[in-house]
Amino acid sequence: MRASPGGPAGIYGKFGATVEFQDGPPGLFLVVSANGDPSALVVVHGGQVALRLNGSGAVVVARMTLTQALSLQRERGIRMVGGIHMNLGRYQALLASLGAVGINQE
Amino acid sequence: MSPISKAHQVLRKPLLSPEIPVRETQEASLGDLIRMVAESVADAQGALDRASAGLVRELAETEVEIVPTIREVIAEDGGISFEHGPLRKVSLLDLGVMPTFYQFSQTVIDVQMDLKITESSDESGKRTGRFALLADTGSIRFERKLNRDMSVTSRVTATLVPVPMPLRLEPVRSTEGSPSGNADES
Repeated sequence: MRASPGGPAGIYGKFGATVEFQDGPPGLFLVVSANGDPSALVVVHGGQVALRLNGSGAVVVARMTLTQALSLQRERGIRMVGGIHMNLGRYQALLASLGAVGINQE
Repeated sequence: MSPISKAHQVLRKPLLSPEIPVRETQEASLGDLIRMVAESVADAQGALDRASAGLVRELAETEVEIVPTIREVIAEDGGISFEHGPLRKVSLLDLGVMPTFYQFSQTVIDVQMDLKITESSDESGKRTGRFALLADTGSIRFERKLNRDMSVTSRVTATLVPVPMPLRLEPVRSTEGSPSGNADES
């Protein structure tokens, strides 16, 4: 992706440098909004909302690239954007401790 | 949910705010220049690490309700019914969601500069014999302006890769019985 003055990544051109990004594969990011649902902003920056996490709708899990996440982080009203991944071992351990049986522990 | 300090954000306040007036230094010691460049990369890495570490707290404070078990019951007549276990409220951290850490796996910094050897002198103008290697980027930029030569530019190429969470940061999970008999998850 090449930074353009009008695009979301235009912020990177503010100090006079030309900034180019080579996007890696998309990953999961936790997006925390200070006020309201951040879903629209996630979509504007090219991401997809994968999961809404609480009743207020202020926390979502989005699928996006690191470049898109960095761009989203600059938005007013976005409190935090951070990459996350699922640790399957911990997930299975939790389910087992809650009474689920037959969990594949591999 | 407690507010997260700016230090925990992926992008934080710049080291040198654009509002602060600055004056260009014509030259600097080559050693200082290399050190400042290296410190800039280290500082960026530190900011990334702080952001990911701060995410652990956010994951611990964000709770979701899950159905831990689904029991499939087959009746004598062949009918199948499903019984859901009681809803349990767990945090994303309990659930196994972990922050992703990023690392600068490779950083190539190409700085265009003039090098010159200088010898310091005392107050009377007498040479002291102490030499220093100075880097001058100002004259290079001046030459670029005059000759409109865009080949004399500095360049930074950085590669970010996701890396495993540092072991000391990863919460240790243990299970033990409480006096009341309820399992205590951590």
